[in-house]
Amino acid sequence: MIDYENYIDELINNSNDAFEVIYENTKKGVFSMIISIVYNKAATEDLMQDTYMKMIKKIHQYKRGKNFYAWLLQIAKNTALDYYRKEKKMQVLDPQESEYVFGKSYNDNNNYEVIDMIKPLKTEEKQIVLMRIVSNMKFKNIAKAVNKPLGTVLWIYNKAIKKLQEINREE
Amino acid sequence: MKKKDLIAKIRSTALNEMPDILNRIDVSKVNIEPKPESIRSPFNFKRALSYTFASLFILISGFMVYNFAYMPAILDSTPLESETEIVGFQTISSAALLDNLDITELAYTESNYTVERLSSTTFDLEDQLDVINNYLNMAETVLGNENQFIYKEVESDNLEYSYAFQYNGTDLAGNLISYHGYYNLIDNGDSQIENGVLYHQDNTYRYQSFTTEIDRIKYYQYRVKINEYNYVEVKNASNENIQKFNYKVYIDGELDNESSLTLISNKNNLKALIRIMTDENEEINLELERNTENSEAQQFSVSYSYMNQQGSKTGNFTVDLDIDEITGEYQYQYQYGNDQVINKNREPKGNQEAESEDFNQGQNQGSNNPHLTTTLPDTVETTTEYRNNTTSGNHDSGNPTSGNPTSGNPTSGNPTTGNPTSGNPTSGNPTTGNPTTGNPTTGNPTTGNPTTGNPTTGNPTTGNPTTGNPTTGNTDPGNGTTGKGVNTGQSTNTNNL
Repeated sequence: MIDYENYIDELINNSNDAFEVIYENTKKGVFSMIISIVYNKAATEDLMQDTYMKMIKKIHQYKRGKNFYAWLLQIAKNTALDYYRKEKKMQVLDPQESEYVFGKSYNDNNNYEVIDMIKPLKTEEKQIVLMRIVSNMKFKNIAKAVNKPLGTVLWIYNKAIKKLQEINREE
Repeated sequence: MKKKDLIAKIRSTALNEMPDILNRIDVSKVNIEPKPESIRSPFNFKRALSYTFASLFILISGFMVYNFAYMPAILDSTPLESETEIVGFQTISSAALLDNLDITELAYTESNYTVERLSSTTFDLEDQLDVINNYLNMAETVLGNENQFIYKEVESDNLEYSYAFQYNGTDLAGNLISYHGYYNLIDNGDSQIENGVLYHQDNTYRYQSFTTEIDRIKYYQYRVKINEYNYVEVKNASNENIQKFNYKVYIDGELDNESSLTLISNKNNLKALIRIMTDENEEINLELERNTENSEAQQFSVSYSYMNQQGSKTGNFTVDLDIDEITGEYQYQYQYGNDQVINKNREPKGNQEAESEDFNQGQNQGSNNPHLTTTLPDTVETTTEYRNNTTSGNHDSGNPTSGNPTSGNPTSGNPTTGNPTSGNPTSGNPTTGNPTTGNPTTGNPTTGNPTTGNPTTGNPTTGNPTTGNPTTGNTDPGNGTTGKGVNTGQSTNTNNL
């Protein structure tokens, strides 16, 4: 795992190279977090961009010595949840339009195939499974990112994998 | 689909679909928000004064609370409080030591045995982890917060055994660990033998007690075994100051390692000092403490020292639970040195989350075993050394017509009438004459004072083995017509187990 602190100093000095290092090391986690909440491809790309933009803008709010990756994932989670809430609100305000939007985002080809693979899982299970499998994060870091005890995270992960195996077996 | 394939499929699918937005961001064009400045308010005398008083108040009251709450009982060197706990600890810890032994792997050949022993001239913690890992398995089972484990006597629901006990503990993930033990007592006149069986998950362990006699004093030991050739012997070497247990691990009939475990309770957390001697004269000392603050994600902090003929080494490591992605089972993750991580096998211990009622004694859970007391009197030492001190126990109390000749049926041959507490608790001091505590070769260099227990100080004859009338109570185990008062004529101070 890289030490992000050095790159943060360079990032504050507008270094694109430093950003590239941070991005390459965190993109899988950010992607996993976002698609576990928002399934839509086009939206995910925008939300990933928004996440990194917010991170750069608010970099001074990051407290040195804390877990940078967990802080970034929290931004990603909040960004995705904001989007999700706005979409949901739209659904309430204008059922017809929202049906169109949600119908699209949940049912058409614009969804991620990987989300279809883990569709039976709850949002929390999706988050943990994707962060572990896609971004290869340590359970300790996942626990920090989802704000749950390590034991619970281990248990959820194990249960989710078994659930997927059973579903695959049935199919 | 296999788990491995499933994981690989999810990973490759996700990575193929992941967008790349690196080129959409140019850091030089992003306005980084300035560092938030802390606004300093002008000096306010009133506020400063109130802060000063508040700080003083917190400091003084904090000091008082700390003194009151923690100082008197930070360390408890005899954390196991009853015979049930002591005996339970011996058997469960031994069984847990065997947990990690895979019988199919035990039939090693001489050549691969030699390959495993590479560390006699150098030291790398990794070389010792196989041995240490067995003790970690044991420690996870029996060490924990005192509110998160319990040894209790229960009614036997197994027709083959008269007595039963249960151990409930918690693993590092907060899951319930349960052991169920059943046993019979066989009275051999001058000693008693306990034969039992322990069940845990899919494992079954047989165990039996046996006695050794040194200077006319009998010491009670347990042998917990997977089979005839693979077993652990445990001896209680406690005295009034410490609780200490000596283990011998036999693999394929040969002594593999010896160890001693000293228990300490720190603010209700059991802590263990373990000294392991391998068959290659290597010594490993471990100080294990379980961090139980978070009930679902606990961790072991371990300080170790290692000694062989070439020198010694000390250090620290931590042990967490991780999940093996292929098997889906928990494993131990050892972290030491410069972020070195090694995963080791960890035996399944339990899958269900432990709940507070798992650690209640429950109703009617008092000991139905006449040889166990659920609590010890203050004056009683906590060794399980055996002595036939029969000063005032009633040997006549066993029903001579209805006693079970094979197992000492506690209901028909009335064992409770033989008053276990009426034996004179002062007549025989089993600990002052304890030759094991004074043994300079086995005394723990860190905790045990090899000179403290003077093997000659205790008067082995003070607890008069002949005072109680052994002929009055029937000690013939094979006499079906006379029955047995299995607990007749015992005093609790001798801890007759």
